[in-house]
Amino acid sequence: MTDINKNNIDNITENNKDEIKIEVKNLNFNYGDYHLLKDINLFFKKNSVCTILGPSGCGKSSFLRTLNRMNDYTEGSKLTGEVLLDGKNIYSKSVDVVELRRNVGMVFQSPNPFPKTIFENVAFGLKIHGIKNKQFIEERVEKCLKYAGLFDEVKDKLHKNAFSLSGGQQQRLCIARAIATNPSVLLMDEPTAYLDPAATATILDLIADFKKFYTIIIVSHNIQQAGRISDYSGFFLDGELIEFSKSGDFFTRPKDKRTENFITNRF
Amino acid sequence: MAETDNHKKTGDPNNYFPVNKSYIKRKKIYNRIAYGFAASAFILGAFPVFHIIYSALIIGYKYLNWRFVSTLPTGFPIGAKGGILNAIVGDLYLVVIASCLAVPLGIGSGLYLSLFGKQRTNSVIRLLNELMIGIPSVVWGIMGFYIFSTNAGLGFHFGFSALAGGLTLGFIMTPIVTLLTEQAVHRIPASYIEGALAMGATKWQATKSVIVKAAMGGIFTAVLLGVLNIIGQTAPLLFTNYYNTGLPTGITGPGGAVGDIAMLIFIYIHEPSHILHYKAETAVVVLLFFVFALDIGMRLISWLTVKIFEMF
Amino acid sequence: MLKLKLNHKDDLFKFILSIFVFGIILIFFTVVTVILYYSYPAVSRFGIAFLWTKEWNPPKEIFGAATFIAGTFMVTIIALIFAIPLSLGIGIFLEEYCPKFLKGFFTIIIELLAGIPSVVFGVWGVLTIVPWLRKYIEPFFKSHFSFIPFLQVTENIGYGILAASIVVAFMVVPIIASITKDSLAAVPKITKDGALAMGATRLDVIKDISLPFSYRGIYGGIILGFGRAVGETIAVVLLIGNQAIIPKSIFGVGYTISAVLANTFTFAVISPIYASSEVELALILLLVSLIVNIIGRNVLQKVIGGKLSRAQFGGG
Ligand SMILES: Nc1ncnc2c1ncn2[C@@H]1O[C@H](COP(=O)(O)OP(=O)(O)OP(=O)(O)O)[C@@H](O)[C@H]1O
Ligand SMILES: [Mg+2]
Repeated sequence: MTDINKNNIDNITENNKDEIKIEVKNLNFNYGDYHLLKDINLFFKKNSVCTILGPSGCGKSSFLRTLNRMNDYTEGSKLTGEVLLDGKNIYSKSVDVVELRRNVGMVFQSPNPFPKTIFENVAFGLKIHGIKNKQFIEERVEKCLKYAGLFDEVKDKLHKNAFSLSGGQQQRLCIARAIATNPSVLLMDEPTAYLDPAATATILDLIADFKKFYTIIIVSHNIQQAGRISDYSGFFLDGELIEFSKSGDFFTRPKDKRTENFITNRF
Repeated sequence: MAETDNHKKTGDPNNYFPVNKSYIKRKKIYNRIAYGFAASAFILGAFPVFHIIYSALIIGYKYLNWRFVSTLPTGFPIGAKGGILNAIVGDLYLVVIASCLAVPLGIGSGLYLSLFGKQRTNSVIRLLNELMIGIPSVVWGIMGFYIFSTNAGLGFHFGFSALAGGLTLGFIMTPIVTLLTEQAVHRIPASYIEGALAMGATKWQATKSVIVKAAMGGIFTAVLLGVLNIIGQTAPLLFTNYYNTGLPTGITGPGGAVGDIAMLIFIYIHEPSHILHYKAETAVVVLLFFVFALDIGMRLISWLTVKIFEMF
Repeated sequence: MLKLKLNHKDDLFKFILSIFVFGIILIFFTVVTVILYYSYPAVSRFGIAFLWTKEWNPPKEIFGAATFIAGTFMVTIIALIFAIPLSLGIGIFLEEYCPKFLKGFFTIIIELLAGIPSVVFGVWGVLTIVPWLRKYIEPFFKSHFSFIPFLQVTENIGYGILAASIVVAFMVVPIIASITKDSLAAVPKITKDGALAMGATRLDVIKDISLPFSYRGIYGGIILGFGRAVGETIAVVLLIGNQAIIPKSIFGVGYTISAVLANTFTFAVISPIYASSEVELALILLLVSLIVNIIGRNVLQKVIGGKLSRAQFGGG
């Protein structure tokens, strides 16, 4: 099942429809005249961790942003094809983007806490989705901070500005913030790029833990990391998906020469 | 709805999220309304620009011709016939005199601030310079009166004249040129200057060979913006030059006063005469032409400078 | 700042440039000294009571600035009441809502507004705003709102505090709007993206991220706008009605400090104490402008690095 030509995907969809969280079909993406993503076809299984690998500038971030329609804000960009979330195309007219983004959370490359208190940061998602019940908010903030392994570190300074935290803590705060709205998918764009090894390890543990709740799609530069935490791995090159398969196969028996080069060069 | 159920199937089952559809619908509407308000604010803010041009043109096109800009005002009340040559010539006088003061002073100080001096003293000078930009023009006019125009007490005793008016405008123009020159030099990539200095050039040589070339566009823009500012000034001229319906015979003392487009407009619009109001609107067209021409010139220069930088 | 050892040529170069710098320092101290020196007779004769004495009577040599301070204050405040929401809207529109390909062009339009000379604004006020107020607004308020204090209309003349304030408002809009825009632009994109990716609308981002992040810059812009409005002269002279009374309504006529200077200073110089009182009026303007700009500059320094935007150097 290492090959992901279209037939294969169709087979999977028929047999285990329920297991597929996101299916990307014939996705093409342009920045103006620049045709970046070329005919991407793949699927993400529920409660799995998938890593997207590839050299800088190959379109990993852009791909990730098509999954929660953040590309809507890039002027002059054009997208064709489908992204099916639980079988529904997120680009169809009837889709509520606000609800889509509640359901598909995103964590960015560098920690980007809001210029607010730690508490308000986590409560932000609840607030903008119209939840006003104070008790509910307090409980949820505490819970999410606990999930993100941050609560004990910040429980005495919940009402301090979020910028007073260290980089690793800020990134975990961003994760807590992202899961506060209880999404079913988490998109992570190199979430450990700017963190030291200890902070990175903490976050990787979280990701492994989160698998039981969320479908996680993570962009990474670090092949060792990817091998360790992910169930599936994909390799992008110049906007093309070269290979997408189970991590075991991907790292030990890459089908494509270019994938092999990429992996071996880095190891 | 399917979406409402989804989080039960996946996501964290212990973290039920109560989706509030009506709130989301409402907040999208609020967002639309905010967009509408912001766009209307922009339209309202842009409205005067177009309406000012339109209302000047609609009258101006009847009177604007070559004679209007090439003959002196005549008739009764003066200006009812003829054109505004006195004011155009006068503005030329004022701009040249002001620039004689402001261009060397402004460029020199701007270069000093970006190349020499201690951090501390420079920031004080910068503060004074920027404060001067904020001083109301009528205050400059009173200063100009006592320094240049008055014939009693201390001062230069130039009388109401082009020299007094021009130098007062020069005072107003100098801090603008200083500030923008410094910014222009700061925009030069550090590697440029350091490159020249690394090759053993002195700062003087570096200035000659690199800075002047690289910052030329920016410095030119600084001067044009200064001219653009003073060309519209009226208040300072009230006490230093006032107005001359004819051409000046000198630049100081009796006969040294000059006309000025802004002042002409100010005087004509005060007169209870329709024909002078029309002439004032026509002069507005001419003044706006100069202002916008300078503005476009400036944008072209800074655009070209950026383009040239990109080429290297 | 480049650190280098100087040689002779550089010493000479530096020396020449420092003469120019001395020139700008000299200009600053000239204006301050002249205003202080010539206002001194009035300051010493009338003392601080100058500020709240209402009478301005040159033949009797009684001089008090209260009427003009009141007029200046009213015009400035009403102008800001119009200008602040308008400028915030413009800044927010240009930075948050406006399609990117139009942003440059739209920004230029607002900058053009800054470049229009104040006499041109004055003429526009006389020929457009005044008739509009006289024909439509004043009759409307007269028949519907005459019971509200500050909004009574006694005569439909068009000229007055409101006419001056409307025009001054348009003159300060480019200052506040461009600083608002620059302050909003200083909000990191990744922070805004973070909110959008959680399902925030543009309005949520503006309310919860952008404005809390940039409000200091906007204050700075408002302060600088205040400074500009206080000193505005030529447009006000043409519109305010020029009568030394403290207006009881925004439709009333009045007088501002700058307008009284523009109209009477050249006559005042005949009498030393009259002239000195007028210079003291200028001193008030000078002090207000210095204080306002020091504060505004400090506030802006922290937000947008104190870079004054293009709209700051509008056309006189
Ligand atoms: N807003 C945009 N407009 C135009 N081109 C863009 C835009 N954003 C990205 N690109 C271009 O698209 C290509 C892919 O960018 P992307 O950020 O998706 O790469 P990436 O794989 O995430 O790289 P990295 O590993 O460095 O983050 C790049 O060549 C980039 O220049
Ligand atoms: Mg990327």
